[in-house]
Amino acid sequence: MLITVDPTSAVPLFDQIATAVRIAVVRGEVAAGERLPSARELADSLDLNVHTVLHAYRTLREEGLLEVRRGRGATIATGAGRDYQDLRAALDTLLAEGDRLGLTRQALTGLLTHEETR
Amino acid sequence: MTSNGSEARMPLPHRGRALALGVVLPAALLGGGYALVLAWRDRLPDPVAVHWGASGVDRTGSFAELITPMLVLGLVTLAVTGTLSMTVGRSALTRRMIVGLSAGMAAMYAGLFVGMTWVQLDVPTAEQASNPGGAIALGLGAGVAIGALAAVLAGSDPPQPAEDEVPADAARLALGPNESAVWIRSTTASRPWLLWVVLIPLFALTAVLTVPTGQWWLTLIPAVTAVLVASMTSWSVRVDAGGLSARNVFGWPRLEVPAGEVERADVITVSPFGEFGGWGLRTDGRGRTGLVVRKGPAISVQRTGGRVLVVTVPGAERGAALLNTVAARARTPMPDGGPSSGRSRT
Repeated sequence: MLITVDPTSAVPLFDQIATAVRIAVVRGEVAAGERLPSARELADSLDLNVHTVLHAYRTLREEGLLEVRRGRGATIATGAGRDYQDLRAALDTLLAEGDRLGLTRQALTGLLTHEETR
Repeated sequence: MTSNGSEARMPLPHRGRALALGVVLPAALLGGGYALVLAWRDRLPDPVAVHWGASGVDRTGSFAELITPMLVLGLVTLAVTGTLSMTVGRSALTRRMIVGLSAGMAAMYAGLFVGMTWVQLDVPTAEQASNPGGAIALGLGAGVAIGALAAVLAGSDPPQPAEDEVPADAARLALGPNESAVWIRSTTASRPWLLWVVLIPLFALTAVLTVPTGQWWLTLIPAVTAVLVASMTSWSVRVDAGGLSARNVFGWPRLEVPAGEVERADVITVSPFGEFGGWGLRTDGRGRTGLVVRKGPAISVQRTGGRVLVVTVPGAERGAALLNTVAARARTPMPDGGPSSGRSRT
């Protein structure tokens, strides 16, 4: 799992972290049940405020991607239906189709955002 | 790839401590133990008990038969661990492990033969000698304690900041000038069930031996083995601006390579059994330290002072690339990884 954050980016920091965790889960780099580093550790590693990391973890928990338990920290949710294989395949297809049609990643992102508000 | 041949011949750090703790201390423990049992000789029965079975003493023999096997084992072990104490141990972790092993094994063997002699002091006949289980457990405990103490005292590495730039051919991870990054992967034995194949018969054997004999201390052996195995099978590896670190579920032992001491990091393919003679935290013949829990890709870190650390971990390419990037950044006072080449984060 690679998490990169850029404080000068327009994207909020918690969102940058949440996106990186999502990518890692969808790509299968972190397995269901695997424990994420504590918010404190991650904040130290990235030189961020611990509340920023907690905000990201909270967002992911609300999505159902993370389970947060007292004493155990944040783990990747194991529940039924938490299988990212189809999504991974769909993303691969999306990227391949985009490349085939000569669409930039930015154009694809635009399509996804637009799809949501259609 | 640059060769570190000249650096590899640099003198080992803390040689004096390695000599004192890895050679002199264990020799003194074995010698002292032997002197002690010799002094006790007049107070021992003749013949002495040399073996205990389920129902007490089941074999008697001469004083030499009681002492010699363990003394010889102790000396042979010391010949190996003492030599290794003086020839390996370029990094603090290997030095602590080998010096601790040398002192601890000698304390254990000395504790064993002293304990088995002690229970026979002033006993009229060998058959009346009480069971040495408690004394043996104490000896094993002393071995662990003395080994741990020697490891603690073996000396940490002095800081050795790298002087040269990270070579241009060492793969980097493209980071923007304002970006910070952390890479975290867990690395786990690929076939953990294999361990249970080994451990379950050990537990069963211990139960078979413990229940009828009442030698409760025997249960320490599988317990210690299980803890050791658990401590070696699963690790979390992290690369961030501080460098590389790896820790297991207990948080100790913990490996750390500061970014400022990284000369370069590469991806290699490792066969733990073929190259390190097994799995876990190990040292190979070339003096590399290996955290090798699975076969496959590994980050090989060349550290200052001729030290090399190999960590088997999935997705090693990105970990190694980020480590080169943070190492390059650590050379410059400003957090500037060079010209920004965009953000390729896929």
